Amino acid sequence: MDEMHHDHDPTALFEEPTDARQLALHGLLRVYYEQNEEEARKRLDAIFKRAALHGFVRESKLTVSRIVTPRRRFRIRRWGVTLGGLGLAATLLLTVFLVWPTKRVKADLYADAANAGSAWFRLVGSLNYVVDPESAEAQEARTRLVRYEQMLRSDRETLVDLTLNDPRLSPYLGHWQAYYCLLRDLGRREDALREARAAVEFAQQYSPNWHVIYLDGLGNIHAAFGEYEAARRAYAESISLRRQIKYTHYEMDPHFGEPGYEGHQAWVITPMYLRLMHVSLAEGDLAEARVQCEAASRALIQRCRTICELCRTAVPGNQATLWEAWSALPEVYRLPRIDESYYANPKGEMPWATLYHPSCALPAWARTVFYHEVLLLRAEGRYAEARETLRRAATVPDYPECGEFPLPFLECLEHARLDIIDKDYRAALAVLDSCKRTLIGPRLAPTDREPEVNRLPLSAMQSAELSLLEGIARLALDPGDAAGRRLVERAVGVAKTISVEIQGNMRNELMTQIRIWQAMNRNASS
Amino acid sequence: VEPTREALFEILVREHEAALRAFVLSAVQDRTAADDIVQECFIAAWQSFSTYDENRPFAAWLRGIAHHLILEYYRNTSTAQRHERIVSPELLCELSREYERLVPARGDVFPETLAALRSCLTHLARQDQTILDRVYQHDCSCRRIAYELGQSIEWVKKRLQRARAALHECVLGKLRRESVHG
Repeated sequence: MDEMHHDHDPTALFEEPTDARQLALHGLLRVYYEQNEEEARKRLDAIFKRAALHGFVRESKLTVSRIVTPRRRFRIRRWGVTLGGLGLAATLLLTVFLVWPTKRVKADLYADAANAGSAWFRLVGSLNYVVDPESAEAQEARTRLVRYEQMLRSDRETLVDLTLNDPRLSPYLGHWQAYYCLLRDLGRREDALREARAAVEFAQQYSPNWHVIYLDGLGNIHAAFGEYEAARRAYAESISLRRQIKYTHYEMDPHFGEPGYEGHQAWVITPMYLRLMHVSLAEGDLAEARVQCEAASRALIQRCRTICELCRTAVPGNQATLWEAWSALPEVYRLPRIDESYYANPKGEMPWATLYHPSCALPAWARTVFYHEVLLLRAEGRYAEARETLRRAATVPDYPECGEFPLPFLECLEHARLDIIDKDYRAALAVLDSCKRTLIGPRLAPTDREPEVNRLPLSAMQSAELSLLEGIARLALDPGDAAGRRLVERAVGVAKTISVEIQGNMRNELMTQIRIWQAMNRNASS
Repeated sequence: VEPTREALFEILVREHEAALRAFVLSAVQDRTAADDIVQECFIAAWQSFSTYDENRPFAAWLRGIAHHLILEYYRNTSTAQRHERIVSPELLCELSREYERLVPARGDVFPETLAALRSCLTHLARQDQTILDRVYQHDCSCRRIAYELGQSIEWVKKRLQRARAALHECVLGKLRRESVHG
């Protein structure tokens, strides 16, 4: 792997004997070969926009931050659960102020800033639209929205004609899901809710399986707009429906039907517990979040125990932790070999609606649960345990196509946060640097080596969090570090931009947070 | 009618963006970072636009600003710090002088430079064209090209250097001829 990275070292040119002539031609050739009028136009637009903001609207929300170039097209995951949208920022704010309200006064400023930042940014996946509603990406989203609406209108008759549970339904229903997810991400609460409710009603009548997925979507919309109770209700209903659904393969599980047993549908029910955990975290209820996290672990533990039984290997005990149960699995389950041809033939469905390979679901969700345990442990102040769990999570293979979160990236941020909390700022910088070098950005990884699925999406918010953590670590090491200050200022700029979209008390709370970051910045510079 | 300050700036940005970008891309491998530097450079230029002496070449002024931003990038980015000794202020000054030759003072002549480059590329040996295509169009590493062609990495690097040197001479020659005829 190291070898490969070295092979694509973006600074490889400098390995050659260099002189000004060579470098000059190198630059000309790069520009010559990349001639793309559309890209050039976007770059010019970004410059004019920033210049205009500097010249005429000095107090504008965008003055501080760089115009964010969209780095990746919008992509909907299977469950459509990149819990994004402007409301989500507001949702997460509550976590900041409910989970760490008293600590802020006493705790070390840098550690506290790292902690709070993480809570704020944790789930945000699609805030590009909010950060810059005029961006090309936001405009593209609006175009998609119109397209989905047209498709839906023409598809409805087909939908009604098709029979119950007909697999041909999926692409049509997928349009619907994509449609309200986009509405939510663009901040159109009423429209998103109306469409999601209509989809739930429709699916109740024609397709009970999709009914569950639409209920999740409904919960996500409520969660994104800070309506926790409604979100909780939708998730709870989805869980109870999931328990009732009886797929054929469920009956092959020897423990199917036993009270309290959920191992047969571990990866179907685990995401729901994790969403409930997020809602509890947002409400500041750590005890309830712990209950949900353990419920998610329990389903996976049950699954692991059943697999061990069926393989006739040592079965972990009743009280085994998820790590113990996971470690007891035969290797073929811990490191499943995925046949790529499975993804090459997506059963005639939309590419993003492709069902993932079943054998990668267990490791994907085990790693996701480990990551969530880390979040919770950090929120509880159990930093050493959080670090250990994070180390363990990294040993589980990552299958980004079946999860909902860009785990390696999020784990990287967690490492950095824990390092900052432990005052090991150099380690935090090293982690963030390696994160940037190896995980992010189409430019560092060559296009012809790695399939797109292995690239991590980097939203404006995630980028801002990366900047924030890097800035915090730099300032802690050297209070006069100008680059560190700029990084924090950039994150503050994004936060300010989002604050414009948030109303009421939540906005005041966010502004308080921003002031803390600014104070940290000032202290450092003085 | 005198153009407004904003209109003048817009014209200058449109004329000089590509050339400045080429300059920055010469010294900064990471395209995202290069885009940032170009953007920052124009913003800095805009902020001190009132102090700009219109009798002096705008391109040189921009490159002066970019010079500082590139050095700052190398100081602040740990990925790039390894190369700080290589990309020195002296090398950047030399690079700037090279650009003065390759892209004469007027900004709007950059398309002419690119046209000269296009013409010169057609005169290169086919194998050199292939190597340049693989490096610049497909972002392939020297190692990969060496593997594809069954040659050593050093051989590929040497071919690249010779191709660039030949292109440099050819482009300068064409520009010189055009200025004489022009």
